[in-house]
Amino acid sequence: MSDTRRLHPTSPAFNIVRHARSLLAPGIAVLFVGGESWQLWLMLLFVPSAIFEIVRFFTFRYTLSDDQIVTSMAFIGRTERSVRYGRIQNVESVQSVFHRLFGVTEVCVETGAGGKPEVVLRVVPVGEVERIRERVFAGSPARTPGPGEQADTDSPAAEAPSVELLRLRGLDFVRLGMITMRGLVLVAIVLGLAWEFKLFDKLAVARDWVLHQLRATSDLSVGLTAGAVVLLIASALIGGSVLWALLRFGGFRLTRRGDDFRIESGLLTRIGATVPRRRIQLVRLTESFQHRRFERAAISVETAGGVDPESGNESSFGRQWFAPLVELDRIPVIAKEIRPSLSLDAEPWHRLSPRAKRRMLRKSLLIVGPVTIAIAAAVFFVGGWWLAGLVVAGGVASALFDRRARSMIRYQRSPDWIGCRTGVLTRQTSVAFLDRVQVVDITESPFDRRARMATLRIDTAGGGPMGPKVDLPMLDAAQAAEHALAVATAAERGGFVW
Amino acid sequence: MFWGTLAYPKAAYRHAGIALGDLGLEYRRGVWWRKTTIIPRSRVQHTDVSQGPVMRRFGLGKLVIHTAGTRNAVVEIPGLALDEAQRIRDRLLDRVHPPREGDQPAETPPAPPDAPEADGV
Repeated sequence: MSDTRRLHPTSPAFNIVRHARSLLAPGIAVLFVGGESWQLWLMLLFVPSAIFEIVRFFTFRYTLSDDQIVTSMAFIGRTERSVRYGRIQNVESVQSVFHRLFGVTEVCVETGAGGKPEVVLRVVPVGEVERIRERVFAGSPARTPGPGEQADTDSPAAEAPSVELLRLRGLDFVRLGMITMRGLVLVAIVLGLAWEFKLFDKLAVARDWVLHQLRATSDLSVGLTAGAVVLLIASALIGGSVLWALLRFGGFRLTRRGDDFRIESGLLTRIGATVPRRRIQLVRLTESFQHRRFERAAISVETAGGVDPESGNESSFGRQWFAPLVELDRIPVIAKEIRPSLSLDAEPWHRLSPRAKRRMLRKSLLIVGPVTIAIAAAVFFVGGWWLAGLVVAGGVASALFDRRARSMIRYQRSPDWIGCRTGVLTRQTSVAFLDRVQVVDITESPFDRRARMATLRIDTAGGGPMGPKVDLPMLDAAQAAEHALAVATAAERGGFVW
Repeated sequence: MFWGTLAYPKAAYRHAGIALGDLGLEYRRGVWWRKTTIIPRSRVQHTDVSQGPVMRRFGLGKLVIHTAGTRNAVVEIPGLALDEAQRIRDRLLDRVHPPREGDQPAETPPAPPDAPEADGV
């Protein structure tokens, strides 16, 4: 049963405003405060883009058929795109304050192809999101449970009850703000704007006035003023961070509905993400220094494709912030919801090869030591003893830190997943499900071969080149080969499932 | 210099090899830094066999295997005899059919002894 629809009548307005923001705003800024003249010429591009948006609105159609979503548009030529439901990884909605005024939202549909979302519906009525989700995920053929998974009732997500797994409230935003410290970004933006609008020159006048006043007063008041300034900056940082957390995660809810995870978040711009449980390739638990201070952790997941590391656009929200702040005793509950066999503490976590410690010591003595001494000797002639001492201290610290980092690595292979734990200050546990593994690599450097060791690398479909990975260095070569074969065998047995 | 121009390619040739079995494809290469890549059969998305002008002169081809992985989204196996590359491609994509007679297990080289990829595996 096919059902063809158009975008919401406000679509051209929203799209034109979007272009205006990127093309007209810099030009207007140039007119008022001065700047590069090419920014004025950019404004001319606004006219064709506005015409394009109007044509797009009148020609764009999307159809939800029994097994695929089809979009079509006519502009010079005719473009038609079909995306089969079975290949769709994620359906996300982004609703800004202005969208809410008109009861509309943006919808992004992503497959495993990576890069930008395959279908972007900008904008549709709010009710459409649920309809699209129901059609897409009810029509997905990938409903058969994999190894280690319990057979769920195969009822469509819409009919299944919704179970709340995580909700952020009250002090959580303060904790999250202190952990993420995004106030730094706000400070950077303020500094950038100040630079653009030449505020620094005006600030210099104020600074001179303050310094002049301070010279006329006692040392105590200088100290007090300095302390007040530091306190002001710290409070601005923390306040900005908490405000960011509140705006970004206000009303955050992670729920499981049938076979999908739903994430809703945001005070002003509301983001709604759907992460199909069976599409999860990799799970990462992060416990940074700040997380540990608050006895919390964060869980992120990776599904195939959709991550756009360049733009960092909203399409990756549901995976990056799957569970941004979880109490430690809730971790097993959420892990079990992701996959019943995922139990991060139950089985023993193994250390690397027992010979790894000796190898690290040898590396410190034979490579880091001589390199540090050589640099220190060279620096001695330039900066004297204190600088040479600093270099030696740095060399020793890096050797100790490296050794500590290696000694913290643990790994575990269960019948259903393989995982590694890394990190000294920020501890991370990355787990790849064996039936989602794509390729297995064993690499051996000359030093590895000398010590009869190897590095095992597990490649999955999610996360992009810079994303989380399961890499196990300094394993016994025989063990690495055994794990590689076992993982590849399990992957092959699982068949190909997104 | 001598080692770089003459001995290294020979060593690289000696250490490169592939094995194709029920599990999938195993590809080894590297002289100093050795790497073994195992691609399960079901993970092969699609394959290319390409041949440049120099390769054509020597009857060689390059097998390119595409997977849905990130670091190993593309695995290139250069220096195969062209017909061997095509044979491996056909066998890799033949997953729906039962293995043909003469198929060998993963640990043994699939190619005849004179084929370059048989060495070192």
